[in-house]
Amino acid sequence: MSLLADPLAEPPALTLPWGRIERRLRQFLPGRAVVARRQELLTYDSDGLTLHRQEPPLAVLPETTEQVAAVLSLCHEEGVPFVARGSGTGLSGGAVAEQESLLVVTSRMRSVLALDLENQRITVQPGVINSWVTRAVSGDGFYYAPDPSSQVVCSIGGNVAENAGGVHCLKYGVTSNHVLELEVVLPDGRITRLGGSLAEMPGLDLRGVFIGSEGTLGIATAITLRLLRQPQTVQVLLADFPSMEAAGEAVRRVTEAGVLPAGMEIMDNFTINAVDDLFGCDEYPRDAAAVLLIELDGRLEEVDAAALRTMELCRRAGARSLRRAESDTDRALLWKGRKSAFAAVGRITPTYYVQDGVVPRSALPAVLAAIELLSRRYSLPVANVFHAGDGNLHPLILYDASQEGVQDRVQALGADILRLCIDAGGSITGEHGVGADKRCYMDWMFSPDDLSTMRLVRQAFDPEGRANPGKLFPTPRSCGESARLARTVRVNVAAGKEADRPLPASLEVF
Amino acid sequence: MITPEPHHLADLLRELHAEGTPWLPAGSGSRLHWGPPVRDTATVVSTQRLNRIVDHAVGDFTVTVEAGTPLRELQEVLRRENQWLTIDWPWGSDADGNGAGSVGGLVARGLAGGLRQRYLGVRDQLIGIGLLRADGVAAHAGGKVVKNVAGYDLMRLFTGSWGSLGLITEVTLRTSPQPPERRGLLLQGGLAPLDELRRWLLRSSLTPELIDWWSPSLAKQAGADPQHSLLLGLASVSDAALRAQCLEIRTRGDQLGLRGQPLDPERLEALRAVALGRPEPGGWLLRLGVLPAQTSALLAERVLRDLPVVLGAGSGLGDSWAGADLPAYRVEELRRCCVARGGVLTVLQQPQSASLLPAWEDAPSRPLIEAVKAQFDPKQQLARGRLPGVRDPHQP
Ligand SMILES: Cc1cc2nc3c(=O)[nH]c(=O)nc-3n(C[C@H](O)[C@H](O)[C@H](O)COP(=O)(O)OP(=O)(O)OC[C@H]3O[C@@H](n4cnc5c(N)ncnc54)[C@H](O)[C@@H]3O)c2cc1C
Ligand SMILES: Cc1cc2nc3c(=O)[nH]c(=O)nc-3n(C[C@H](O)[C@H](O)[C@H](O)COP(=O)(O)OP(=O)(O)OC[C@H]3O[C@@H](n4cnc5c(N)ncnc54)[C@H](O)[C@@H]3O)c2cc1C
Repeated sequence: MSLLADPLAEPPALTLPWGRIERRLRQFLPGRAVVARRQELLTYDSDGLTLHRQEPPLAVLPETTEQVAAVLSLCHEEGVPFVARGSGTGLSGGAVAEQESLLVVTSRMRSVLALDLENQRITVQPGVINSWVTRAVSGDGFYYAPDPSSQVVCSIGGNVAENAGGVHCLKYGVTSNHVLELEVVLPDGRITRLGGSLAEMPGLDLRGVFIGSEGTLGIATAITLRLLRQPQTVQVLLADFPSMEAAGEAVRRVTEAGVLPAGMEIMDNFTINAVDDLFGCDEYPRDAAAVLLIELDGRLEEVDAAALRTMELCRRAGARSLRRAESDTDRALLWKGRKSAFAAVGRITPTYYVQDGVVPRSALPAVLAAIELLSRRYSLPVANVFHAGDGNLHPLILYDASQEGVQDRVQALGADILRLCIDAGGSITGEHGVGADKRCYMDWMFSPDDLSTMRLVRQAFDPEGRANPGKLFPTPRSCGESARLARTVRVNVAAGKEADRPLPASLEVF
Repeated sequence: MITPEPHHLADLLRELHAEGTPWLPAGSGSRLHWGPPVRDTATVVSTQRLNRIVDHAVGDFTVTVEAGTPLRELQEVLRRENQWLTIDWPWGSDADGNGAGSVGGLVARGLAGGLRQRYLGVRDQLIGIGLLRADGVAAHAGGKVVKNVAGYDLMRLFTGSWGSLGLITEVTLRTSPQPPERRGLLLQGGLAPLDELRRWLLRSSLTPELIDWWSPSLAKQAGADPQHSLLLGLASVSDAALRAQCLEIRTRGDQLGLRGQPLDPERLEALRAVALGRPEPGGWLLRLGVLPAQTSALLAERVLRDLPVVLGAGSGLGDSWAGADLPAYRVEELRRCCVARGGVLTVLQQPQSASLLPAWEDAPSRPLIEAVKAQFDPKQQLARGRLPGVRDPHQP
């Protein structure tokens, strides 16, 4: 916490005419939609990555597309950069106005604009909370599939910007697979529509590039989502293994057999023990090297067949014991440990850093073994809880913030883990995005030509580079060699300030 | 059409760029003429020699291939490992995938058939891309892992770009395990009860691979009664489950007065091949799209009454084709019907005549599409006259 700027210290001197900008904004926005008081602006000084802090000079909370367009037109005229912000749960520092920028918060854009169950789609404003979508349609037997574990707080606009995933994206895909159409206000204030009413429209797929662009191409003001039918049945299996390799082998066999589970999650021995300590009973076998949770959904007769087959495959891969849950309560019990994993680890040390990397599924055992070695080399414990089905790792680096120089070590270990992921043929981020946090690792994955090609898109949408400036792409200023070494670490999920609305205690990072 | 060696490609494109020569990216060249006519272009650069399967990561269910690899060859290689790319053979191929074209062409067109019902489209399978820009610079985006949000999604930008932004040289795709069991069902009868069944099916917990509407004319070509039909394909890990599902659907069909004909996997394949059509050099090929709830109303339209039509009942997307004798005003009428029903019509092929119909109309984001094009292809060299979402791209 030593890195936290003193919130009462004087902010750096501002160079843009914020007084005039505020006056002009007040001419067309309701009074409640303009936030200029320092005390209130502090609410927006970070996202879920709480050690990157910088309060914006001014924030607006528009309610309609027209207001967003008017705000961005004004920014265009005045040459003012802007940063979109949903619920502020992002884990890569994306919604923080690092440079002098106007913050455009969507938290007053929370209406469902159209519901069309006949065609299985819904149109919402960007501030609508992810779980509200499913709530709005569940009575009719539908749901919205992407389910980030922050879903009771994070916004659909933020999901679109980060291309958010969830526990069930193994079977159902991520946000991009579920967005049909976007209404977007471009950095010069023009309103446009990307995508369309059908999955396939003649026209370059600008909808597809906008999704995952982390607020650097404009602001999404209306989003049309695909809705799915709720599955008839859900079952959960839990298997424990004497080695991580065996658990990985089970995942491989299940996938290969053509069984497509909704989700497959693995917890390592460290996490198992943390969870058992938290519960005060041996929910999972303490000597297991790994437990594997598999959720199957679909038609009753198929799920039954898939469950039998999956259990057999787990046994052949070396599972020591197997549990199967069909009722709601039994399922909840099996999931409980997984859902409490971060809280359990948080009891051991209050500070930990969540990394987000991806490896090919077949590389999981080797990469986990390498992380274990690194963990010993750095003398920092690492807990592994991850989406095994799609190779998305979330190693938690545990540390004691009061230790001298520990943050540099955590940072270096985090970077080494990303290096492992890339060497294994993977990626530096599977769902949390690049934002401010990982922009300096982008050139580990992409060549200068790759990045300049991506920038062509940026130039078409935002020639002046005023949308979320400085994010996603490496910049010489933020990523000079010395800056990279000196950067200190960062996320502090347990102790840090939460999102704009407090996260419920039961909420866990997946 | 020139078919350069892979290591010559970048140099060639740099030269073309220096001279500002217009050129058209191509795969095997099987369907180059579809869509808006390409103007002022004598140079066609094919990826035919970029035809290696670079890496099939069997355990990871991904495959990296060079763009010129024939789709048929890729599917064969995957099949040996009991995997597949969840994509139909493109319209105009035969039942064995002859004439299916290259993987790069598949991605560049970005179209998908009935299997979209369960597996979504081409863009949803693409996880990495390698390309050569108009200026000859090589770049890539995405990667080889199924989950990845690092950087902009150029995979989606290039899917359906029709060669207008650059030359796709390599793609990485998700593969899937072959479903152990498959079965089909052909339901025939009146449009109203069929639509009722369609609604019931989409609201049920069943998840068919395929729910395709067929027009009477298509049913007739397949040797079935010339009636409106729904062709269903079901896949599962369990044959018992499939039997139960077919029975459930047939029972519902019986209640609605529909005739149901169970199909074994071979018969299902044979029927699906009929819907791949037969390209007629001088004829029409139309890509239809309407909101799913409007599909039966579209099929009832006069203009479609006598044409072969295959239309995804859940996606609202499909194809229709006709000989040169279909007058253009009927196609314009059909386009208005599609638009009125929340969709679009793309003219993929049309008879040579004085007044060409535009292949597509302007998309609402036309100015932005043109801005992207100007960035990727500043000299307007690529696929001149053909820019998806722009009705009449301006002449350079
Ligand atoms: C406890 C916890 C669990 C999490 N679990 C997951 C998970 O399982 N999967 C996952 O993918 N993520 C997860 N996250 C990360 C985060 O919740 C997601 O990235 C989410 O999509 C962010 O939404 P938000 O509304 O909070 O966006 P913010 O944090 O406010 O913004 C994120 C980015 O989106 C941009 N943005 C926001 N709104 C718009 C808009 N309307 N138009 C354009 N750009 C916009 C911002 O500029 C910023 O770059 C988790 C976070 C926490 C704290
Ligand atoms: C179910 C289904 C239905 C389809 N129906 C149709 C249809 O009705 N009409 C239709 O036009 N297509 C359709 N397609 C797309 C079809 O698959 C492709 O047109 C075909 O694969 C082309 O193969 P080809 O190698 O012969 O490409 P070509 O005929 O050589 O080229 C096709 C197009 O792609 C571009 N292209 C090819 N290779 C590249 C490359 N490497 N980089 C950049 N651009 C490239 C060309 O410029 C041209 O526009 C369908 C696909 C599927 C899966």
